[in-house]
Amino acid sequence: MNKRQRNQAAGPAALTLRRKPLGQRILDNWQLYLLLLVPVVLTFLYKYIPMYGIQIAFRDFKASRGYLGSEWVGWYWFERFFTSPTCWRMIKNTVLISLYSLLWSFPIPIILSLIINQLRFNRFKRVVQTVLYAPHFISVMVICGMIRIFLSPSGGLLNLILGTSVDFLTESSAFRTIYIASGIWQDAGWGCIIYLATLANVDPGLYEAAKVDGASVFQRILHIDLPELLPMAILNLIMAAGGLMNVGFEKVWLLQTDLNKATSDVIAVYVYQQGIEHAKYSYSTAVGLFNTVVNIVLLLIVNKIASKASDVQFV
Amino acid sequence: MTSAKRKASGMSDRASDIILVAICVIVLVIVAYPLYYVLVASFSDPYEVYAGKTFLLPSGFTLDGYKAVFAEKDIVSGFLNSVKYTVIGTVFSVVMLYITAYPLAQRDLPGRKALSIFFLVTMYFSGGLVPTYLVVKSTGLVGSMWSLFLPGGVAVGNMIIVRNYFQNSIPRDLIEASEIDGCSKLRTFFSVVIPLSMPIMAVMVVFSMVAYWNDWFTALIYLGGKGTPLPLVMRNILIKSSASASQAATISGGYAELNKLTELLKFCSMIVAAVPMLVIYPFVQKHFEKGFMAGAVKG
Amino acid sequence: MNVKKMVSGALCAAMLAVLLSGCSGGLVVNVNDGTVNPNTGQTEFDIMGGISALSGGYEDNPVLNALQESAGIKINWETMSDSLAEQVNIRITGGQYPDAFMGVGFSNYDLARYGDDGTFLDVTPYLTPDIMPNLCAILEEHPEIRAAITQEDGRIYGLPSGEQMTTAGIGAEMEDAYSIFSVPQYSMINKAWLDDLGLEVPTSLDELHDVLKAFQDNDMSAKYYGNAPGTTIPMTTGFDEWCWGQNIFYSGFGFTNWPNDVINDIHLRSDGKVEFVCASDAYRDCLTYFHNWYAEGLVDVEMFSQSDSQLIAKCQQGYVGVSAWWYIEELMGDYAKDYVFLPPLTGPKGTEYEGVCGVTIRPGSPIKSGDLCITNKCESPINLLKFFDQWYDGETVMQLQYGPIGVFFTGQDSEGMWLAITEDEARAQYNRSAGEVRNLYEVYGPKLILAEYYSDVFYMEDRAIERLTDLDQFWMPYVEDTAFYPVDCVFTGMEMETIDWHKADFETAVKEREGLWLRDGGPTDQEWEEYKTYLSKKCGMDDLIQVYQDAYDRYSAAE
Repeated sequence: MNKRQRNQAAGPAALTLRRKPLGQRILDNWQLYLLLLVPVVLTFLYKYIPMYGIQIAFRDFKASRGYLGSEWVGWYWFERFFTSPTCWRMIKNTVLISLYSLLWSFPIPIILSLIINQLRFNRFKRVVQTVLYAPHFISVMVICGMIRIFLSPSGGLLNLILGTSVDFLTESSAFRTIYIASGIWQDAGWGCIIYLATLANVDPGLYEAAKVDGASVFQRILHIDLPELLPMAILNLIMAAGGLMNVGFEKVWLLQTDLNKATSDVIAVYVYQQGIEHAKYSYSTAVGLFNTVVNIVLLLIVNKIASKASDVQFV
Repeated sequence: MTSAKRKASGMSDRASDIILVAICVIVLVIVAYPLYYVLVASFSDPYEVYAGKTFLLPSGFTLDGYKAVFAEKDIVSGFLNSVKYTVIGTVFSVVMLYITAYPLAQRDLPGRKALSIFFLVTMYFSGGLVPTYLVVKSTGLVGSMWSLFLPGGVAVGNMIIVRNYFQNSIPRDLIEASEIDGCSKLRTFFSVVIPLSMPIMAVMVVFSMVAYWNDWFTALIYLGGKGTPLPLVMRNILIKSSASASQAATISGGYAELNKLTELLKFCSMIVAAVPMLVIYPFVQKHFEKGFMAGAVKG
Repeated sequence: MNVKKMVSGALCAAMLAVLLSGCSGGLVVNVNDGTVNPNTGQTEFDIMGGISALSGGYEDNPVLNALQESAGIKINWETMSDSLAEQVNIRITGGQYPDAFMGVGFSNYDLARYGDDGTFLDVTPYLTPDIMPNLCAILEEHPEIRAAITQEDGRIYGLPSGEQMTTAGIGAEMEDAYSIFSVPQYSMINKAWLDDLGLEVPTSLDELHDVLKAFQDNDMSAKYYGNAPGTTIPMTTGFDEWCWGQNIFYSGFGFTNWPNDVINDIHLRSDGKVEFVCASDAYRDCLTYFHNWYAEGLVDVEMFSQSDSQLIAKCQQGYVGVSAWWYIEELMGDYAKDYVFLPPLTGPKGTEYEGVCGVTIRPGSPIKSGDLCITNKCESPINLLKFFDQWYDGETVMQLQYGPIGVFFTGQDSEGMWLAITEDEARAQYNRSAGEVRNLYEVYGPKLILAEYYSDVFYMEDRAIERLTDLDQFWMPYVEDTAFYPVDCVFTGMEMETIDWHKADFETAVKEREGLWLRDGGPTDQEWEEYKTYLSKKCGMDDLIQVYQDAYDRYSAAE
């Protein structure tokens, strides 16, 4: 029911074509199916066929026995994860870090790109864009090295400014702030790229008209730019929600100390440690699968809300 | 609108310019200082950096890091390989994105929903490294450059962005006009949709370009040591350096000195690898702004 | 509706994929029936394995080539220095593995798994004087090596490797020799600062406390070395790091819980009972005591987060009064001449620990058997094993470890001991440091370097001799109880499962609590009880003790 309603709402063009029989509509679109052929084949070959690997989450994987020969153990690994001593702490930390990340790092690129878009000095605008984009190229390892230097209690910049000697990396209360702030520093400019490209589509005539009407810069942003950005922003929000459980493991791992684990102990690091360091492939696959399922549930919820509230579609 | 109000807003235009520029300058400083710091650190004695002695100028100036990076004989071939992979990979990825996103942007395409889900699933479920490797191997790609591109298939997240752009940002009336003129869907794609989507294409070029430029893991797993790209060369330099340090760690001695070079190389290798992308960016960036202009010409 | 659709879509696709692929590891041929495979037809072998990132490659290695020639076989090397474990895993899973894996370092857990299902060859039947004369002689003479590589079911899935760098190399009797790893952290103190303040080298924790206070109050880094004011760090170390941790300072409470290869905080009492120090009252008192130092600012606030590079950076600027490292010169750099060893200290006055100084020994490096494993792809194990038997000879293994005679070893002295190339010679001949020459030629694999080689075949490196001499003369006299948990205990399959399940959880939980108590103040009675319950109930401490106790009991009974 729902589906039909939405399709009808999709526009008049859809309505007229709807009336044709299915076979005819498929024939009409043969060129489009042809375009899709290569992507579908590649995706099936390299993404779907290897998916048989997921079943090791339910097996006791031994490399020499292969994927189908390893013993079937059912929910064993999942049980093991949920009875591990820090399981709930990891789930809680993962969700909280992601949620706060989303809260901060979602709006900032939007605000930045709205501001940059209104800059009228082109040369300055270019410089700002290039500089903001540059941190994206710094490797996580170097970022974390710099964080250590800047936050060090012996001669670190932040402690000098504050006049303190606090080892922020061992304060569990500071971990999320460090993680999120450095993330914004690194990727806010990168996130602007997509919004700036979208804003390039605004008809300059609209600005002229608004100026004639006496709209201030703020009003122009509010009434012209923001509506233009909204679909892309909502799309990004949905995608971010669908990746909520994916906390970048490398950065957490490099910033984790024994004393900030109360907030820095996350699933991603655990999966890495079990899978790579301890070579428990079945276990890490099972935990990863749990992560994925949570992500999908979140994605579907947010997608539902967003598609009710706007025209943006994810699925 | 009264004329008084209009005048007031003219004033506030200049005022808001100042505010906007001021905000940007502050942001610029906050973002640029750590960048500058990385540069300075790449010329400084790492132990002095760690001891908090470096703020604005290099402390214990040294070129050892860059010397070690450029002493690596593979660096030129690595650079050329990376350029090759990045160019081919970017073309491949953007073509894939477009030919996937365009059909899926047609709301009346039968099976659209199922096809979307087909792609979407791969964003969330992956068989893991080993099964993927086995498929890549059995299709004969291991050791070939194509193993870097084909198994990636479609970057689904980007594809959705492009699809939504087609749906929301390309004026529907232009497409309809083209179809009324008797153009097939494919004609419309080439003559209307592609020219009108330059900004998003530029974005996708940047995204793919950077992804291919930075990728070392795929190359490590699939290329089997042939045609090594730059990031992998950089990584090898770092690994060699830390290997000689850790070998010295216990018995033979000299760890502190060798470890110093490793720390320095972290900064230097990153700068050497990032500079080409920073140089290219302004050229691609121009195209972000061509959006409405291109549309206006065609319209 | 959406959920159902997506899930079912995914399931269908996955099932289809399974049907389509149908390939698994392939048929498993179990070769381990306890007999010798008499086939000697295969003379060309594929070997895959690890290599140093600095190596010149194995194809052109003169030592390896000579060994192949004398064994009459040819080896095709496939080596890698990066992401080795992943690539080995890919190959085993894909069923496309070589005749042998070399220098991969399989754990005992891996060995048992791959051995059980017949992927790895049980070499027990081949350990005869006909096939492996050298190795057999060694195992004859050193039954403990054979015990260490034998699985619980009596099988052996790999050839032994290990480096017995002990005080025997500097003339100690073989029976009383101690590993170079026995005391990994040498604590050190700035003697110049002490002299400047007219203080003596401390012998107890109370004295050290007062010394650190004096360092801090007088800002010795600024006063003595002219650094910026306020830069003095009275004492800094890492936190439970192997050669640069704080553990040496715990001696005043009767233990030193070195991070080690068995399991952290394990302690073997002299009566043969296994216990965890991290659940003892002494441990609790120790943490409570050292928290005060931390609170007073005598211990670097950064000790819980700093990397070794950060520690070295501070020390080489002359900021530091007391620290710990493998030996002094490396850590202190230009300031090294001002530092002397700070001996293990006795416990605080007026407590039950007064006069207590209990340094315990860290086990040496274990004998491993994961560095050469022959797989069921190999048709003529005899030929391959004959090649590897040559490795169990002092002169050969010396060349595999350091470099060929004629390159790294320049000649023999009057006692027949091989002499290594000096720094100057290496610079003159190869324009490299001696260490770099060695890196070019080192081979990763089943290298068994016995303690006696250092007195019969070649000399230990100078720095190792220096460190062992210090160990023998300065540090070992402080060690009263020389019992330690043997690193080569053999565990049953069940025991390995228990260790595999709990060890990581246990170690991380203990370390986190230890750090928090050191920083925030020692445990209250309630916290302490909760902690012990948590270790027992959640982290499997009781099971672990049982496992380690059982394995040790079997081990000591066999001796």
